[in-house]
Amino acid sequence: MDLSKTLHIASAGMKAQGDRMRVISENLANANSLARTPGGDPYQRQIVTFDNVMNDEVGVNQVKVDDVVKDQSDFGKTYKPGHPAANEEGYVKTPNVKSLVEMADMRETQRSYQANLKVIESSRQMMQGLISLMR
Amino acid sequence: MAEGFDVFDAVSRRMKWLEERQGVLSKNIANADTPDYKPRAMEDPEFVGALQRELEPMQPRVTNAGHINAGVPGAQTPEAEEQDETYETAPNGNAVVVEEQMVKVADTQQSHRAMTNIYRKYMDMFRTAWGSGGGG
Repeated sequence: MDLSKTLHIASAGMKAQGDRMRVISENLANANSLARTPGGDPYQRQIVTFDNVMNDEVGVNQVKVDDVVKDQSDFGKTYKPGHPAANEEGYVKTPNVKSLVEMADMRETQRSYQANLKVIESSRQMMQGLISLMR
Repeated sequence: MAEGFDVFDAVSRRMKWLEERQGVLSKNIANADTPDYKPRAMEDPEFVGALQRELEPMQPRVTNAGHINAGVPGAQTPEAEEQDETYETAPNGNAVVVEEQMVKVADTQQSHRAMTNIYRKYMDMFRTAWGSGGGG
């Protein structure tokens, strides 16, 4: 393990967190996306899963986004008789996105991203120290 | 050079250990949100053991004509093991605590800096002896 590999590992972690942030922003942006047809399903919340994958070029296990899956929890419903997606009783299904949960996820993502950034900074300073020995 | 103790060698081995540890920590931090991931940790090197290996290395002795004169294999690359004790485990099975890992990263960086400084100071001693700068 040399220091440059830690840079690869940390940057892969940052990329994975970046993808996760993208999905969170999709969820938040679609928190009010309803269906168009009567009784149709609204936007379904997405979840990111992580996995470790061997990178043969660098020779280390790197974290990457495994899959983006749909949250299977129940949709909410609200009474909107005039809406095009309303069913016979006048109810419209609402997305299963909870902004509080998304906000918490966002903070966690940010924290992990920063931690990876700090690792890169720290490794870089260690390398700098080694290079300065040559002077 | 001190009798029987190679500072450069000791420093570079310590640095190798620290770099290995930095790699392990970076993996832990990158996997701070991976389900079922358990953090890995490096075993702390024992000073007494290292000193003993350095000053009086263990060697098999040939006491019989039939013995093969074999040496002891060199120091092995340290390996990381799954951390025994973790502060907490998330509901998804992840046991990485970012704060704990960051403290270790900072510690690793400090030790690494200490090692580069020791290396430089020792080198300065040589420079003084050679009479090319460094307090000359």
